[in-house]
Amino acid sequence: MKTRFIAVLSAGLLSATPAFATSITLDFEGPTSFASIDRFYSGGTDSAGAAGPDLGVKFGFDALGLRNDELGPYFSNAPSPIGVMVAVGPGATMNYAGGFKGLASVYYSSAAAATVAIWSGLNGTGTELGSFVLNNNATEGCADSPFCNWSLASFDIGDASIARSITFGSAASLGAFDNLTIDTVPEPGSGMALAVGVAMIGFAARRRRAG
Amino acid sequence: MKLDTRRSEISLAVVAALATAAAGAVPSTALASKAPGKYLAGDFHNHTTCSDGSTSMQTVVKKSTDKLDTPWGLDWFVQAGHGGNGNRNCTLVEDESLGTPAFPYVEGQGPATTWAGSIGAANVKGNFGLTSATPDTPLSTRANPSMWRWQSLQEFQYPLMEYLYAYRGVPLFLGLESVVAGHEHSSMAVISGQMPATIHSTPLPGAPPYMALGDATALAQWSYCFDRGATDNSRGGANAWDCSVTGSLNSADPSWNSTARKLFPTGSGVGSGVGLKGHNKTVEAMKWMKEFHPKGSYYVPAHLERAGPFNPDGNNGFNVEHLRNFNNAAPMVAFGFETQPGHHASDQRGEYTVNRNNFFGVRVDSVGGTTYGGTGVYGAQIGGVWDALLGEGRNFWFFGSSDWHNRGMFGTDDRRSTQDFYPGEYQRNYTVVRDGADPKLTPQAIVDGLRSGNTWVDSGQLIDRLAFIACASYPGPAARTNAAVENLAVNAAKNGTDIAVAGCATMGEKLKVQPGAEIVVSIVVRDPAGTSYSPYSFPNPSLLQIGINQPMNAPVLDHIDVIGGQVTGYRKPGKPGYAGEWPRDWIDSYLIGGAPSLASVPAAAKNTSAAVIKTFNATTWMPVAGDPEFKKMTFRIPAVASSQYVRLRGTNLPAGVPWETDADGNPLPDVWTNSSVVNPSVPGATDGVPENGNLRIKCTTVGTSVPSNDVVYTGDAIDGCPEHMPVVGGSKYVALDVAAWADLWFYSNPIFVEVRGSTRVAGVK
Repeated sequence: MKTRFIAVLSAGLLSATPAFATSITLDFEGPTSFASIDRFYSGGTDSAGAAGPDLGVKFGFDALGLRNDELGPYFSNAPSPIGVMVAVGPGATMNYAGGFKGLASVYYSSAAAATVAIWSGLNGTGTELGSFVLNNNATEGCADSPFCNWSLASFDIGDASIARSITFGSAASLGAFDNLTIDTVPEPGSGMALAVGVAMIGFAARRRRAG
Repeated sequence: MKLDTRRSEISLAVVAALATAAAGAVPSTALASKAPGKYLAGDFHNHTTCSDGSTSMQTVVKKSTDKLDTPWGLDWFVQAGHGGNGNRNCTLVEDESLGTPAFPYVEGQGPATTWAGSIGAANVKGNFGLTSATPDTPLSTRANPSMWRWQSLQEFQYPLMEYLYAYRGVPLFLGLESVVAGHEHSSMAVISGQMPATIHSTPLPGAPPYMALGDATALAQWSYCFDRGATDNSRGGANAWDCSVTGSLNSADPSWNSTARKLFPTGSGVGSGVGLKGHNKTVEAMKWMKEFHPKGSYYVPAHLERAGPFNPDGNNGFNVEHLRNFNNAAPMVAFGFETQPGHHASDQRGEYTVNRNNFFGVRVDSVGGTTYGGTGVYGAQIGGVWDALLGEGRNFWFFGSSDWHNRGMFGTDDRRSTQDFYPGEYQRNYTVVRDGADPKLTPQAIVDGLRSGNTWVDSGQLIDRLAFIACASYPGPAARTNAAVENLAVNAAKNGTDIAVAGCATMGEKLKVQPGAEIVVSIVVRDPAGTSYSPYSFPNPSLLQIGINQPMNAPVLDHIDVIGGQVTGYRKPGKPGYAGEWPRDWIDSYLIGGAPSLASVPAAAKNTSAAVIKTFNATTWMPVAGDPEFKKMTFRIPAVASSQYVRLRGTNLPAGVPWETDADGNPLPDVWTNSSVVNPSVPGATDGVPENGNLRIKCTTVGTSVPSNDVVYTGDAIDGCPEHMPVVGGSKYVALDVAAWADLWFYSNPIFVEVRGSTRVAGVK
């Protein structure tokens, strides 16, 4: 039981270090509609001045928040219902400088087939590590808005490679995105700190057992 | 070391931690939406006997806001007479009908009664002032002193205005038409202290005196410190005012008067530089308002073309650089101009005319020579001064006001006029006012509305509702249909409100978009059925020229022009393109049957990208289903790549109406309906024009209900050309108030579109 407590405590330590390996899901419920998401998720604001949580994720200016309003609806049945992200031009790239790997996924509703590439460098540079494959699914089985059906696209980057950007601009004008999830890479310094921390916890646990 | 834990436990912990992280990533508060706002009609430039008007404050307030006796009654009203001084007591009413419990009629007295004859000369404060040989002599030593405006505002006009606000329940406050150092006139106000909320919950006295709960001390101080006519050096007596501005030269400025504790530019004649020194003083006034009353003040040059161009050695007009200087010094204070003057019934519309001004023996036209469809050339000329300012991305808005003084040859209650219209009778500023949950409109809400640029200006009740909106649209999920945007505009117009939808903007706002966005522009107007406030029911003589038989008091909107221009950024002081005088001979080519060209206009004063990009009329707009008074029209600006703006103008006159509009629908100079004498360019020259010499449009309708000039006419159905129309060769011609009612226009303020990567629209939030 004590051991389990220590494990949970370890995870707590882990979660207390935002830059540490963790999974980030962007639900796009906060950014202002028709505004560039920009630094909403990186400690700044979107282009309309709204601020969100600092998750270290930045977007190019062509990535806009979108919410339904009295001129809509633009979409419906999204995984998180209030807001989604749309790419309106080539500069709709998502950047995460700390890197991410493993399984990345995003919900999408697209009016045409497209691919959204994942890159090893920022701003769509470096090596293309893979892509989200989008199908024309926007109105499959529904008709309550132009983008009413959502599917999950995912790609496993694996542990050997580190990705830093996703170029949603390749799907500009085609679809909307929601609940983008990436697994961030632990920063080396943070990993060392964790190792030291976990070692200390383990040492303490051993002393308790010894006691 | 061995950790005796299982991966699943850690995973659970991680999931829990992630859940915590997710909880921390709840949506941030969306940007606060705009408080509900309605377009309300108002006027902020008019006069009483305290300056050079003809009526009491009570009369002008009643005539301007009473919706029964004067059906044009406004929703808000700023009484703003000249700065300087005056010797009449405008707080005294003309008769018992205008008396109120706290300000009753006083037998034998009225608004023309002097201060000496009402409160007594001994109670007039201040001194002879800096233009006197004995500046320190108290005014109270004079038998019939003029009272400095600072005293009348502070001690007499404000308490009455506050009382009338509470008594009549109409939002009122006090401003000034300042006599401007270095220039002619400006409409302005400092509202700090005026109309505290407690006036709505405090019982009014049943008899004099009324003890004001608020004050106009800030406005009074401004009047003392910065009005050119305020030469008093008393520092406002017990007020002990000091006019210093933090960071300015103040006492180190050669114009500083240490006794008066204010700038007092001196000198006269060629080479004196008094105009330049005066302008610099007025820029200090902007800074003072910005420092002490940043949200509670405004400054709007009035009829700014009238006195000609800027004169560095006199106090005349404004060039574009002076507007830039004001706006640079205090962008939230100096945010527009009154380029649509009042005095529309005058024999020289707006009191603008050729050879009006005397610059040391040289006659100089009002800028542009006259008005154009009732608007000065700075606002009326597409690609001119206003477009130059908007092309910088400045917050610089279009306003109009009545400049009410008197009714010319007619009496106060006559519906005819050969001089002015009452506030609201002819011109109206429709300004969005966001009063939130407060049922009482506050001066602050009105000033905020003026500052926002969400105003449109109408003459002659051509339209009484306007929704003008622009929405971003992108292909794909963020696409917006014309129908959806138009429906938003229809609802706004029907409700008399503006809009609050993300990715849409209205007048005075900027729409920030990505390159390639489409802009969906929707316009909805109401061309009201029924009759206007014109007393004339005979056919519009201007339209009769082209075979259109339309009653003067039932104008019909003919078309709307959408004017677009590019935004290319602020001009820098001292750099080319910042300063330049409008050509003094602008009207000359019109007078010989031609038209001037922007090629003669200096770069500083024009924006050659501005043009009519769309015109709507009865064949291209659609009536709103079930409510045909409303017309709707929508178009798209495709794939924007650069920052720009759109604005509107509309009129009852088609293109090509002789002497009124040119073939492109632009207003022609109003000189052809001005009946006044035009001075020769130099004394003794033969290029002057005799009275009625410029009139061109005959007024031919002979009615059966045409009152004599000698009777007071209070009706609204004069069915033939009125007796006061000038007669030339036995024929009546269109002039005076008939000319104004014949020639109607509205102007909207702009919507800016700021495209990412292009020029920033700096002056608008």
